[in-house]
Amino acid sequence: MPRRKTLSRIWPVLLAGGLLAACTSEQAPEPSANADCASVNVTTARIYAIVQQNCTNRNCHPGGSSPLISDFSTPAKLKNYISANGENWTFRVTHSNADMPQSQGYPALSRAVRDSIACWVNKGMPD
Amino acid sequence: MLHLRLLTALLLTAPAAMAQEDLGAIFGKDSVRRDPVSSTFKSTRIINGQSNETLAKRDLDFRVAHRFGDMGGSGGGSSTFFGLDNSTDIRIAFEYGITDRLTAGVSRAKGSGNFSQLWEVLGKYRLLQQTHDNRSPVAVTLFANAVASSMKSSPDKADPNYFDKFSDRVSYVAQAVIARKFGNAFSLALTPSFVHRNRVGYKDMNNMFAMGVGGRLRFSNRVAFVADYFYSFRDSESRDYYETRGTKFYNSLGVGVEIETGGHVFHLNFTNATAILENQFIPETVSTWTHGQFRWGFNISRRFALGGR
Repeated sequence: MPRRKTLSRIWPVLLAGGLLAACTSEQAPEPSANADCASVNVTTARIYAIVQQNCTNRNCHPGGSSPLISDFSTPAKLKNYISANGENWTFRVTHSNADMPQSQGYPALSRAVRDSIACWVNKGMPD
Repeated sequence: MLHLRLLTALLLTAPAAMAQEDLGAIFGKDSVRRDPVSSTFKSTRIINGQSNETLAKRDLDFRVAHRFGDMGGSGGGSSTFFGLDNSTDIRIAFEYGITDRLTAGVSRAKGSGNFSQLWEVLGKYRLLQQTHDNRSPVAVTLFANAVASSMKSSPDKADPNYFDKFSDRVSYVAQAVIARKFGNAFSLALTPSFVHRNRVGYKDMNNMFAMGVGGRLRFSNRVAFVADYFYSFRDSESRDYYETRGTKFYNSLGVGVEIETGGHVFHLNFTNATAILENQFIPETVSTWTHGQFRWGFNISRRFALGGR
């Protein structure tokens, strides 16, 4: 019984120790401008992951016409939309004054990410 | 340290403006009560921030919190039914009273900010209770949590959500909730806070201090007005860098109504913060009331007495 009591007192200390041991301080490197499209990772999987995180997972463009008509629910539908609405896509997503994704309280896409998306589109949306 | 002293001074001088129920004056000096003041707040959270309350021993608190999308602005309005079509954050938590003073809990939150898919472990300890005789004029409760994200890592090292190792996914919060109940109707809490995020974006801050202030004004036995505000001390270099890149940070403000219905405490609130956890809404709130970027939200708390009381 005393052993059980001792154990029950030790595990919170171990948990706290483990959590504190995981305490680090690191800052991401400065985002590059990605001016050189040749050096940018522009696969569909990479770009679609960005679109999922910023456009579909926040319930703005999940498909099914709700709440917004543009449907990015699959990579193929995303490509179809860009093919049919390239100018609109550029103006609203990758242009320097782009307004997408609309805030909803989320941070704006970084310039580097917008440049990567633009490179992907300019290269013909390669897989 | 200076902030803590200022806080304590403010809490100690404010009672002059509010009538404290003084039973000593009614029944004579011999009957001055030294028992603790209870129910400074009705719930363990005010709106976004923690209250000084902890759970009773062997009480289990099942909590659900939800924040909808922007009510107004470009992302709100009738097309999203004033934000109700969207959810910016959802949190489900189980918190348990190990003793009357110590609460521990776990939660899962959707997350809103740099990280999503959040797992939280938390602890809360009631260090000091306010007493009726003012021997202890304030209640002090300590709160700490650790939060890890299980989201997929970004492939770009420049993104804050690029995870090279597990510790990159972790953040922490430590708070002291200093609270006082003024009479039966009004309670005030000041919450000096410290947020540590293991990995942040370029020019963001790993360590950030914040000061929270929250209050509760009771209208009736079951209904009260609640509000809280957190001022984040982000340095000007970081603020300027992000503003030049189109991201402006704001302090979080929440206002709401608290309704007590037996075992439930129900909060209907409005806040500009999209995130529910302190680890995110203190350093990463980028939405503002003035652009219509506030949302409806609710906190539901259902307590179960597991101790057979």
